Amino acid sequence: MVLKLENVFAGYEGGGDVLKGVTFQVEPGEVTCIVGPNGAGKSTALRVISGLLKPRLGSITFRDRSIVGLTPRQIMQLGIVQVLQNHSLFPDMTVRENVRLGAYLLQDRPLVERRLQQVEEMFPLVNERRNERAGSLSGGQQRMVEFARALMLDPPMILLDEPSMGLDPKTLKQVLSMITAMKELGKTVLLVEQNVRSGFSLSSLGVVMESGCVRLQGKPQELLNNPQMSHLYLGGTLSKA
Amino acid sequence: MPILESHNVSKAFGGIQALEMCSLSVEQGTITGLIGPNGSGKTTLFNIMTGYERVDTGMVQFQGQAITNLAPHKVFQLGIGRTFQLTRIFPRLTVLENMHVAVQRQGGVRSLLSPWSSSHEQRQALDLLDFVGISHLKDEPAGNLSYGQKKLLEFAFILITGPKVILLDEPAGGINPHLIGYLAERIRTLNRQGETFLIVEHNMEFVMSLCDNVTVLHRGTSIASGVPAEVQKNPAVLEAYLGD
Repeated sequence: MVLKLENVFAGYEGGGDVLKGVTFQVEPGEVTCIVGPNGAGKSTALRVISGLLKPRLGSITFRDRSIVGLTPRQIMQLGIVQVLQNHSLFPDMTVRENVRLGAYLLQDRPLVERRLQQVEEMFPLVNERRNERAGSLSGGQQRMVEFARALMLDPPMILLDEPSMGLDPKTLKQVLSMITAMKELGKTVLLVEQNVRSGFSLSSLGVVMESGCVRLQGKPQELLNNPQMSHLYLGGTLSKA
Repeated sequence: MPILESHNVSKAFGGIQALEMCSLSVEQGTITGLIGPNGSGKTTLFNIMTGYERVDTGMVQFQGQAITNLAPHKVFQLGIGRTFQLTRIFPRLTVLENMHVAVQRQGGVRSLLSPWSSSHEQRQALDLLDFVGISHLKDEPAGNLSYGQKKLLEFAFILITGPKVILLDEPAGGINPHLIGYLAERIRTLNRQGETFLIVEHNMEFVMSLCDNVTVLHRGTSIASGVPAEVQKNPAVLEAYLGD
């Protein structure tokens, strides 16, 4: 196990706890997918791991070390990078400037340039549009730049909040195969996904959250066949609606 | 009869030609889907139709009248409501207060100072929150809502203003599968009551099962238009968008 949350409680200013005793763990080199209804606390779970939100109670350990109370920068230095759900680029900076910012912790300039080159090769769009203002890109294109930026630190663990959102079907396929490629490189991926089918198809562990708690966890295929799962989360399908 | 149309609209941002002679027609009483690859110009076209961007050349018409380059609030007053890819709500106000602002149609603090003008309006706001499935959150600061819940609030926010046409920018993005089905059913219900919709969405199951017509944009121009089954089989669409 590389990451472990135990009995974590957390919430935002002016509201109650969003996480109400969350416990789960992530195995190294695997893809783990959190699913659950809107407002279940999925994004909040990622935010307490990356340090953007401090838990009120509970423990979080990464590689057997407590990371509760560390700043986002320190957590990033330990090797956890998060890609946020909402657009987080600096619109008036160029695409390349935004991507380079992903390596702001690194002092080794030649290494940064090498990484930049690798990332631009991996994402043709990022390369083609490198001198454009990031704000001139469409929503889906900006997502690709955010992925590219997250890879600049070459982190051992990456947190992805709804990677499929806003992507056209063709780009979605590219992103899904990119996640598989990350796993093949030995990286640990923890993702939140509404699109259960695509999220689970990549994952070796599924975590189902509801109302701030983990209700179910296990192998994705078993979860999909679990009647409790459809009751908690899937409800009626669109074709039946 | 088309209620909302763009004719040969072109728009460039610096060196990027976002739209190139782009035409789109939304028939009254239909649900029209607008799909296309990332960066094909869908949001730019939405922005032009709702006054958030100006055209370089071309024309936009609403109920047969030219509305090209009209200010956003004027477009809104004519009865064109829209949601955004990034939700636009007041994060520090509660969910119900956000609805209150929307119903006043003048926005911001001024409307908060005036009480609900009738209990009927407050009732309607609560009913609409119920309609989109978030009435249990009415007293939460809107900023504490999850992304999916914010999108539902924005939808209710638009509905209370009673627009004639509703433009939805990725309504299913970030919404859980159960709610997507629910949302589709809500859109159908409103459509049966006469509401017209124009919807940008990447969830193909959602688009294909919901829309009467679908227009496909590619590189800023419309490459196909028709009923979902036809468009889905169009080789140019498969090549540009679906990638199969």
